[in-house]
Amino acid sequence: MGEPPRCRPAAGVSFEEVYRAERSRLVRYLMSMGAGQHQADDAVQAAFAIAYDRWDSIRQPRAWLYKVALRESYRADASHGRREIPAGDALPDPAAAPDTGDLVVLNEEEERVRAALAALPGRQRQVMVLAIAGFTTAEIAAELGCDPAAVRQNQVRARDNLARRLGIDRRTHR
Amino acid sequence: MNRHQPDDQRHGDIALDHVINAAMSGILAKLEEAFDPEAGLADIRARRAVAAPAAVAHRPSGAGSSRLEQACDQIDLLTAWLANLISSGQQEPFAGSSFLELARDNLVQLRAGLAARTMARPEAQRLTTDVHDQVARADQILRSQHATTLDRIASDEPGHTGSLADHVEALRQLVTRLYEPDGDNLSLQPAR
Repeated sequence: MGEPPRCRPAAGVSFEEVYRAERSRLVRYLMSMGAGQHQADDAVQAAFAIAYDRWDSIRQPRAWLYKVALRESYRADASHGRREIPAGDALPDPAAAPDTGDLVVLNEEEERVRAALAALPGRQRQVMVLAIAGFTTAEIAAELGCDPAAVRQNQVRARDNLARRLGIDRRTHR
Repeated sequence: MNRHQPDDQRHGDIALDHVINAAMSGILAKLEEAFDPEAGLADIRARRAVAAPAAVAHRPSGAGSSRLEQACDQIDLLTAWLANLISSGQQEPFAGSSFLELARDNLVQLRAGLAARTMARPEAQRLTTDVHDQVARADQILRSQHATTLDRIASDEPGHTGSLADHVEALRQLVTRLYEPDGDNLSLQPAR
């Protein structure tokens, strides 16, 4: 404790650079997946804390962080109410928000879109939210371990669902 | 989008993209504005300081530690999937979900014993076999009563890749390897 984070390169980028560039995007990703902001903040911080010591060996930091942050968010879900994951990893209490900034207040439209994304069926939700985060179809397919055609199909269904939930008529809108 | 689609749909797609992009950009801008990078980095340092002593206490040093980490990671993965399946079962109850709860409890017990290095091989093997049998039983019930499978249900959950049975088998192999004599003859039994 006390020493500044080292700036070791992983895939040519330093930990600090990636943290500053991706942290808010990761929080938005988890919020769009349905996590509350406290939980999203905590999961993202946990993912970066895990990444810190492994930074040298992480070849695709961005994809790795999205995967681990989501896993950490699920772990918080699993431990909700009682600690189901033993304390071997000494995870911080998910009920306690990390001190990384103030909670944000979304406006009505932002909350409506976030809620519509979070309400999509699981696979459609993940495909859509990863696409919004800038991952390509091939990257999403690799991340989810499925065929690119399945990613495209889920994305089409997700867009249909979203348009319906958001009241956008894609057949007659002009 | 598809260049051959009708104009109406193309306009609808543009409108949808506009709504999504505006909202997502707005959320990101607010998160960025509220974000304090220095506080965030300090929080990461604090988490590492907390995690380091626990890692020393709960994870062995030497050749076996990475194997133990792999086993724990695999248990975490399966626990998270089972938690999601159980959660799905609570929303749309399906026969067999109680077996998944038993499997999850066994995974939690297995992880605690392995991480603390207090679990003997027969107990670890029994728990792993129980998890295998409980997952298989839940799948069997789903097939016979609901004409579906655990993998089909799990495939709707984000982050799920591969078959549950394959991952349970991978866990069984990882646990078996943990107890194999290997160089330092690593034992999961605590020194007494």
